[in-house]
Amino acid sequence: MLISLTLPRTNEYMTEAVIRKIYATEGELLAVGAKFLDFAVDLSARVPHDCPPIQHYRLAVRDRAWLRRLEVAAGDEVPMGATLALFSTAPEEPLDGKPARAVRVSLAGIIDSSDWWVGPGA
Amino acid sequence: MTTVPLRLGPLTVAGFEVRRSGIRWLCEDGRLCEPGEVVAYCNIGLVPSRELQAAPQPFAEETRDLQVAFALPVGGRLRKSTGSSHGGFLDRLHELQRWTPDFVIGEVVRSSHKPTVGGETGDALRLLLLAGRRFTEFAEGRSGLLTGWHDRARAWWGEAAEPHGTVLCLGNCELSASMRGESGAFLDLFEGARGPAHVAVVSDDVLVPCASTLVEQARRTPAEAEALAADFMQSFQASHPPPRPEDWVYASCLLAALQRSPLTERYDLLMRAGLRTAMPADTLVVSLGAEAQIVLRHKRLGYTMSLYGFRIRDAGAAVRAWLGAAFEPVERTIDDIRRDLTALIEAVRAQGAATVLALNVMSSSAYETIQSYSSFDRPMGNVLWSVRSKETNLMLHDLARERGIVIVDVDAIAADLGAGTHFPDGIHGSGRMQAEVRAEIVRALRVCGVRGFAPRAVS
Repeated sequence: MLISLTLPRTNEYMTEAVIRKIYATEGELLAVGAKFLDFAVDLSARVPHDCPPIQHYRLAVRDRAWLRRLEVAAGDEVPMGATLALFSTAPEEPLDGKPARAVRVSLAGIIDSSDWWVGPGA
Repeated sequence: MTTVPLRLGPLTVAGFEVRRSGIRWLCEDGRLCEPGEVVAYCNIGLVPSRELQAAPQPFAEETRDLQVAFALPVGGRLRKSTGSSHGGFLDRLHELQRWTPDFVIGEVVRSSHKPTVGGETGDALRLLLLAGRRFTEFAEGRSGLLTGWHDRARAWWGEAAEPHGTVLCLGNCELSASMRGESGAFLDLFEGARGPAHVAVVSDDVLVPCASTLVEQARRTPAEAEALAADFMQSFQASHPPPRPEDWVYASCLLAALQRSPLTERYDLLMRAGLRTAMPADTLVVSLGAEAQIVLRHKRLGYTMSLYGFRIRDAGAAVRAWLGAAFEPVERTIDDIRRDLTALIEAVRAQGAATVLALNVMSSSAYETIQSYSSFDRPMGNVLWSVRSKETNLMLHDLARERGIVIVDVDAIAADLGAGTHFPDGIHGSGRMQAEVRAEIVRALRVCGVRGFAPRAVS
């Protein structure tokens, strides 16, 4: 069975996100609870803020599944609802069919201060 | 039906002539007003006598943004005097005309006898004084009530016979917005503070008032402040790339903020019967939201600053080069923040501040869907925002038990109201959220017996 993952909404004002880090590789079997990817949502362009919030999230899978195809790479800006990856419940499942459902995931807000200080001249 | 004339009443300062602008109205003629409602304001100027011209002046750093707002002594239908307002600059120039106690700015037509505010019986307006200290004198913004770019804004009632207490608010934008309210001029807050209350809010625009910085500011000697300024000038003059206008504006405001000490400042208060001096704050309101995980520490001089990353990005390349070369980022654990808050509490208690309120942080997310924590590395307080927020809030409970501080439970208020609706971006609250936080702060100040926040008396 094919199952797909799309970029979930994390905020009323969210329209897109930037993929920050991907923990899995194509062909890998992911266990239930495995880290999959981190992404950042920057609301500064959407909400007129004095202090634009940039929030970071992690997706972990809740299905045991093979990662068959990654549709994004770290650094990509993707719209909300875009397909991020395709999984299958069997390793050799053909990829030409339609996904039967969405992969089950956990979504969590994470701490990422790596871009708090962008460094001199940035 | 009775008519109550709205007289300015006395406002005198020995050795000074009190002057004012024209009156600016906050509501329409004919409005049915509540007793205590603030309906108008003007700018105020103190002109020294010849003998006092060379002496230190009161409100020296707030001269151009000293205002008085007028609260009605009684409720009823408002009628404005035609000569009260002149429009244009004449309603902004703070030394336009002499303050005359018998001047009538309007009247209130009462249909029945209603209670007066605070038990007063006269027809004089109640005065809410407002003062803003500008980041720079060039930051002219006299478009309204307490408008402008201020590094400190404050307000107090002008009638009290007994001494004022000072509630000093040092936190992030969420705290200052809650205290200043929708008007930005403390009007909602002073609805709940009918006694000798004095409230000051320090801005976090440039230097975030976090605990470690505040304690360092209070302890900094004049020689250390000079060394800090000299180091900055030396670094900045040699900066590559050379500073641009945005660098100079940011850096000069930052330097000025570093050389001040909000904890030890005294305050001039203009009262009906003259000037008073309020001592350093006897009540502190702080916010966990101002305690960032990362602060900057000067490599050579050792002082720390908490700055917003987005401000640094806006500041300019020379500022970023200076920060990158002269400072190192320091990641603070929750224990570090606890240690800094403890030092702050000890510092303010040593100078007589009895009451400390601390706002906790919202710790829930409307969109989070964690079924198992096994997906996350330990310690989870370093990984998960919600866990860190909860652990930080728990730390505050420990501090409350040990040090007797009072927690303002923003986390519970947000959960009650609905974080998705009232904290949609997780940082900035709705007006309702800010009003609830403000009400909780006022309630806590009342329970703690903070001067000026006693229950409202109605005759």
